[in-house]
Amino acid sequence: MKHAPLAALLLLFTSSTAYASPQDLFGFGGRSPGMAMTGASYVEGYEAVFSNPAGLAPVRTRGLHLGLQGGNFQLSIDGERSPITPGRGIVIGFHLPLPFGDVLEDRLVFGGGFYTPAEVLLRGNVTFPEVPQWTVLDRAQVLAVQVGLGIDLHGLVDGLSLGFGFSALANVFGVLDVRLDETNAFSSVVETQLLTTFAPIVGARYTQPEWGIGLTYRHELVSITDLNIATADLPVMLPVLRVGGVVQYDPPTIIAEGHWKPIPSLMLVANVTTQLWSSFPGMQIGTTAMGTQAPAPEFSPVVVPRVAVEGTHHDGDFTFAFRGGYALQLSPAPPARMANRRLPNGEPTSEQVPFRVLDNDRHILTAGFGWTIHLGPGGEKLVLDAYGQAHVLMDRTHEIGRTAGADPMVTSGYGLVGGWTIGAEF
Amino acid sequence: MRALLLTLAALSLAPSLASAQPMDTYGMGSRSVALGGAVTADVEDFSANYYNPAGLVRSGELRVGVGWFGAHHMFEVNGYDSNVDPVHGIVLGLNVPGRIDDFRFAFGLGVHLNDQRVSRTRTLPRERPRWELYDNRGQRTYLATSLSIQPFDWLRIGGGIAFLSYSKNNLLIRGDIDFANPSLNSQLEHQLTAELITIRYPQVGVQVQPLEWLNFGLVYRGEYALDNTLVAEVGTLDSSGRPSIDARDATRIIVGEVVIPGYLSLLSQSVNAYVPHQISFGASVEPTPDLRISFEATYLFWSLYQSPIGSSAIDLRIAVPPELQDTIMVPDSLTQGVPADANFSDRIVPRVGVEYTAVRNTDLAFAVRAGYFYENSPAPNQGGAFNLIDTDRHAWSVGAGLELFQLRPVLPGSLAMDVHFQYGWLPSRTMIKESPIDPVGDYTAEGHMIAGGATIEARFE
Repeated sequence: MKHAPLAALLLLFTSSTAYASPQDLFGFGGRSPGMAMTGASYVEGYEAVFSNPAGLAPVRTRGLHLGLQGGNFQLSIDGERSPITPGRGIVIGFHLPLPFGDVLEDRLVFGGGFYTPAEVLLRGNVTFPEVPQWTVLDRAQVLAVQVGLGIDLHGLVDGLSLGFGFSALANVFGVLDVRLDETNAFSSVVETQLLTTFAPIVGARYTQPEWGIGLTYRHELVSITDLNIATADLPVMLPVLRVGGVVQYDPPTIIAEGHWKPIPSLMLVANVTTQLWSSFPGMQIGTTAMGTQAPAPEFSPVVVPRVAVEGTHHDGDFTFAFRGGYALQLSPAPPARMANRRLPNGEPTSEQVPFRVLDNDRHILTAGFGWTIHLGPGGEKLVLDAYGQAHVLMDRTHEIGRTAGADPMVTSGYGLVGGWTIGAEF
Repeated sequence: MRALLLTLAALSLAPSLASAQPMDTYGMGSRSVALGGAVTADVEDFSANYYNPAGLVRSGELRVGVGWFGAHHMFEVNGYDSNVDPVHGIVLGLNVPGRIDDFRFAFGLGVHLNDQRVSRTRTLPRERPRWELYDNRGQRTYLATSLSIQPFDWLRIGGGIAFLSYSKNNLLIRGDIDFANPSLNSQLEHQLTAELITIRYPQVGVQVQPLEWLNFGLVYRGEYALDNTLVAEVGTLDSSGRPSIDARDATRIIVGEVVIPGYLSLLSQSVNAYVPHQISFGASVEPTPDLRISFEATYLFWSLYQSPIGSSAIDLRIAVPPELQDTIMVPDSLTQGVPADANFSDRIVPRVGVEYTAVRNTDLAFAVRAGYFYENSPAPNQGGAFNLIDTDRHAWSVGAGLELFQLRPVLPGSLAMDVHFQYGWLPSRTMIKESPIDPVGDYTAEGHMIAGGATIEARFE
């Protein structure tokens, strides 16, 4: 047990895992992930591009922050390990007040936040429906690109700020044409394109010295791979094959949050996050124009309660912060079950196949630490934040077994996540 | 403190975002393009993210710029239009300066974002003629972050690591193929692993200013290439290497009442959008306060070019029953595509630019610009089976810039607006084939290209 911190540290830097969009699962930055991924009402600076772009508005210094994020999920089916994609990534964030004058003075702040997985920018797996798949936890390793603009409405309504921004991802579209060429060799024409897809983020917040509230809406973020394969000159004529699917999905999300400071050095946070998973289209697409498709995912909307606390202590040029939080992340996925395949128009057929989409409810416990070194009267400072998260999956019994004829399977597991950021503000 | 900041700044370069080089062909930022790209020695606007990141720290101003860019190609082979796609999109950038005591530094962000797509990779049949340096290389997004420091008043050092991505797909298809009507009655499904993979390459530069009117610059940009790979399997094999008929991932061909197991494996691999190592050295002089003249030479290591002629491998196995031998004819062997060298040569690109400030007072400054560069083609005569078309290029550019100073109190600084126009001439070149029965034959290629754009930049003191 005494080696547990070391083991956790090694885990973070060696076999760490990045699953779905990491910011959707674990939060973004160094502060809010230690507070149960809250932040819509209190986060200021680059982290706000994800939690609430309105939080950019109060910032008066330029800032650049960097860090690492990673973790590892140990998932199991009937007690046997069910590994998902490992990985780790780098967090980059900046915020930049635009120094206009007159009516625009201290009014506009631009910010950006990026997460780059260490190995690939995006990895998506679209599997056959009967293959056990952790669709929510293992959606993909994916690059996050988020930018936002905060607008401080001081002078109009002191304490009120608005924010706008977007997350961006890439869709992959392509064609592959295989046929004999003039030299009687099989050759292929391959063309792939990356097209940008955007998901807007809007937010508002109102803060007073002792309390504050924030509202955020994030639109769904979808990344699609769609390749069309045509063949000719083979002994058997193949239909045009459509290959791909939804390789990354974050649901539409509505966040309402409030915080209260009973004393200046203590902040309490309550947050309700609604994730509209019912619009999830499923990972698979039909392979041929007239063939049947995988069953509908039938995901449900979920409401996630979160609470967090932050205590601060000032000592000369130093400020220390201690953070904690808890969230109950309910699963949007129905249990693994026999489900009806679909026609190309989405109508169900009478053919039933095993559909093993796996997900469990999770208790999420978080803790974090912050250390700020104040360097000058102009607000120059160095900021170090670190956090850890424990995701405990509640046991779940599904309707079907791991293989045909087996007893209904039970899924369980846990995950450890951690990260740190260091930044300069000047 | 300074060490901490430097460490932080250096760390920021590790994952910095940048991608391919439409800039190599079209330039970045209206002022720099108008000067023929001869700006390595003294560039200081957001285009420094591409031309020389050392220049980001030069002005000490916070700069926010945005603009539009477009290029149209009129390329012909034997008098017929080659239909090379136009390239157009927005450019934008940031220069964010900072200072700790007397130590000056700056971060930069430069973006070229095509209207149509983030990027495109394209692998064509081996013998199909294509304008190798224009057909697809402009279809890229450029996104770069950089850091610059100024340890002495006369020395600036900058750098970044750029990266870009390409897709790699691995797929498995299974199910039933109806021989008589495959499009309507086939029941197939697939499994896919799709990856966007990162390529990183460095760009570093220095600017030396020994005298107020004299500047030198040196920059290095690394090479990269996009690997276009697709691995596909239809069906699966049993332990003896024959197509399986009853495995979970089997593929079956249905011919009436007859069920035939089949297996197809396909690997397609090629290199796209190669950009070579390159080194630029430039100098600029200001013989009078209103006149700036710059010269530059860029050495590009095209001899390391990774050929786009890729490889393809195909494995087809169908266990055809005797009664269908006349209906389904499986060849004994299938010819595979093998990669081929491009045999490109290194080249040196000379550039020159002139800027004259016609008006300068407390309210505004107005400048006119002109530039020229010449690119000799690195491609050899295409005498064999492949047709990687390229010719020399002469490019002339003109531009103008207006900077407004009296915009306080809203803008405590200035607002600069620049426009440019560029004409490129690709003189005629005839490719002579070695074989009289070459399916393409001899041909002559030539072309013109026009490009233009405008940028606007807010400069905060």
